[in-house]
Amino acid sequence: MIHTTKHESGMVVVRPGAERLTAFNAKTFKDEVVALIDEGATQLVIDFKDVTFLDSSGLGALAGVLKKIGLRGDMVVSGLNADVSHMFRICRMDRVFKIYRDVDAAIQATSEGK
Amino acid sequence: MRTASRLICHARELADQHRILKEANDRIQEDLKAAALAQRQLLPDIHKDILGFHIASAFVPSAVVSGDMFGCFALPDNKLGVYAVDVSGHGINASLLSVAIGHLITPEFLSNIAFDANGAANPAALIRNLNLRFCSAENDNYFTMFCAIIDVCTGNMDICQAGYPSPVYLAPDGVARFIGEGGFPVGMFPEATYENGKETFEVGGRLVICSDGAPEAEDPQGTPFGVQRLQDLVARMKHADADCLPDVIVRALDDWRGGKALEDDLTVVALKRTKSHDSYNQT
Repeated sequence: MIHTTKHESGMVVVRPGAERLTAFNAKTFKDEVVALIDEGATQLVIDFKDVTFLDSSGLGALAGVLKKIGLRGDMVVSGLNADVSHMFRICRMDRVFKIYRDVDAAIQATSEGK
Repeated sequence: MRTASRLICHARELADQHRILKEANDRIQEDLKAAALAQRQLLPDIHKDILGFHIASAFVPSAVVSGDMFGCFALPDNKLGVYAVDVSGHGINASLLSVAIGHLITPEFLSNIAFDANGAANPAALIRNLNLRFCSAENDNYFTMFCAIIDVCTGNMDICQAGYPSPVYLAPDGVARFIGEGGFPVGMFPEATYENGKETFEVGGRLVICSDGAPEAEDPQGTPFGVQRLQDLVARMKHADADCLPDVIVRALDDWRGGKALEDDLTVVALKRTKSHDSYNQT
């Protein structure tokens, strides 16, 4: 389901490929991103530009991916709409993930941080 | 002749396989029904007065088995404890965990875990305890939770929110607002910390706790009900009968969905402080 684009900086941009990330597709999303990490991706931007809704299972999948990547790399998120942003805040995920306005901002900040 | 015999034999084998599959499927469906029943029996259908508060609940499952759980108990020293839990995911896995939580959280458990040694309410300690208990590297099971301990004499309410949607507090003057600052879901990060929040539950005030099935309910065009509509709906319920309030919310969401099925379980628990400490003592 996910769409991935490799940026020249080495960052891999992941778009979930669904408008809604919920209990119905969260496991598939997680399995596919974990497969990317297993293939060697260590710097990830999960872009929520096209995601209108995410439930606690969706957040759980993100947390699972973060645990998988661990100390091997970094994962940030971008493009959160108001509802998705609200969900991040209620579950304190805004303290777990770095959040950027869009992919460009995420790549620029992460590149500068290197 | 031999071919005909083989064909008959093959048809018989197919019929046997079909029968075995059907029996297995029937057994699974029976087990699912038993699991759903076990969970429903634990979910209280609350319509009662406890310590000067009226409490009412409504529950609408989205599938055969679900992952919601809630409870409300009188505790020692004039305290009232209320909690709601929403296990992530659907189906048998979520249901089993919600049943385990329902059995674990008893009035005795709350009395022992959700208070400091000096007797001060500490729902964050309860949630910390549950987080360590349910954090396991082997699985992705986790749940969101809201817990409040209310002093029925003073109206002081200590709350802890762990990823569960913010409840709406409806003040006696009719102003509705969300309470809680958010918090990590339970069982996700072992190192997560949880804080208590402080609120006041006024006489005539109401607290409406809704699982995320409420704001996430979609109309036929796919527009979610959303938190703003939920807040406005509760604000219009200043004069509503305390016992009917959860059902009014369920009906409003039914109307909004216009026949569209619920994608998630829906729990509504509503509390109204009906009596002050003085009048409570006189009755």
